[in-house]
Amino acid sequence: MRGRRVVLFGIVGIVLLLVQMNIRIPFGYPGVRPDLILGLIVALAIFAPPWSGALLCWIFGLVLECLSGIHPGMGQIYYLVVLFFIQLLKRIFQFKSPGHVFALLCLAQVLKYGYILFLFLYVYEHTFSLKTFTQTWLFETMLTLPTALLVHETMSRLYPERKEPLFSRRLMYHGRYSK
Amino acid sequence: MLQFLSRNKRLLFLLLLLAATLTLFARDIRGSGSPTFFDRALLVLATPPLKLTTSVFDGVAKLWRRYVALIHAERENEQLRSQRDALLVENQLLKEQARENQHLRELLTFKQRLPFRMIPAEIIGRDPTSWFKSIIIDKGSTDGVSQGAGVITPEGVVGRIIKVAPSSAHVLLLIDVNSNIDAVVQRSRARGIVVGTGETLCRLAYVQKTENIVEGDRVITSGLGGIFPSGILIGSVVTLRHDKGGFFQYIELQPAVDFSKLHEVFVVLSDRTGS
Repeated sequence: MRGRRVVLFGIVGIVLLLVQMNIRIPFGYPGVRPDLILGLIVALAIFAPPWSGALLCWIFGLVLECLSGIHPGMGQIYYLVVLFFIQLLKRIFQFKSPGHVFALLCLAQVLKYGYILFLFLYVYEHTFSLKTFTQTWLFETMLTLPTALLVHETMSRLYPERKEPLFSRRLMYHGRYSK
Repeated sequence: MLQFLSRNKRLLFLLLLLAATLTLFARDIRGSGSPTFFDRALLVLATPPLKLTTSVFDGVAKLWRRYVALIHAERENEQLRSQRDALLVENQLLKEQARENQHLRELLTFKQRLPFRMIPAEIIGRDPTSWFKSIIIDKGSTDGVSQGAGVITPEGVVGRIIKVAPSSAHVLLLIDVNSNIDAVVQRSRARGIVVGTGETLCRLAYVQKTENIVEGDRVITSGLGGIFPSGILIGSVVTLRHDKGGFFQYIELQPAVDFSKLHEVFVVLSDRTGS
């Protein structure tokens, strides 16, 4: 069952990539499009088993770089960092409501800004204007937040919330959840 | 040893992923940019679904343009005369056909005019990220397309081929941050390099302050580098600045090609006339 869900994540990822490559936004900056995969990565970080999630993340990054002019390693590192960061946060916080997921997506976009800016400035030394870079990022964020949230919410339907094992044990021994 | 491996398998898995990623990263920074077997295989696998999704998206767009818009017009015209509706539809379809005819004629004339071999190609996919500017076309190595070949339209330079699969190829656009093309200012013959900035404008870099450049000057390919034949229009100068420091002028170009409206392109196969 778990394996089947991971495969489903993979198929949804491929479909989203194809849609992302063909989508045309008639307003705003030309060529700027929503990062639909990001919603899937957040869903993977929250719902999928950690290691199969990481592997899928890595594969999505690799496919993205093969189909784009992106530098090798860029996509994989970004998606893996987002995945591990959310998994780390999951140990402290619980992400159940769409509001929480929205906050995670905002955080992921902020990470993206810093990461790509660092690569452009110090690793690849590209010629670009910071103003345009920021505007591109803002517009992408504006498109990504609602669409990625939608992707996440759709994927979350596949993972019904599990009861804590401790609660299940309580239910078994005492016939109720609370002590 | 086995015990160690089974105890630390998660850590080892993570290290393996990181090592694979860093290898790719290092390979790119070292500059060996030739596509790997995996790149080519993925492009081969992605081509049929890309063609399919492009045709679906184009079909929906066409349906919207041709019919849904007309239904709206029809609603307005219903109050006038029903006969007029039919004429409007017919008129619209004929106009569309005439436009398409004109466009195809222009493409044919352009192809016949230039003294080098080219093949037409259609765009089947665009870059999935917002940060890089590239497209995927439906012609590949079986059609004679090779890595590094130039891509143009009747308006001007589009970019160059960076990855080739048997039936598709990846084109790095002129406006991408990784793009560099050797260029000449048509009027003054000043030389420079057109560098992509990731936005709608490009920069003409390394033009000395002593060179005579004015706004509106046309910038063309120099023919050096062997990617593009000389004389293909790249764009025209829109911004010109002489900063106090440095040896070079700050020049911004408006590309001749409107990248948001690209549908068909030509791949330059060789600079020889004939076969």
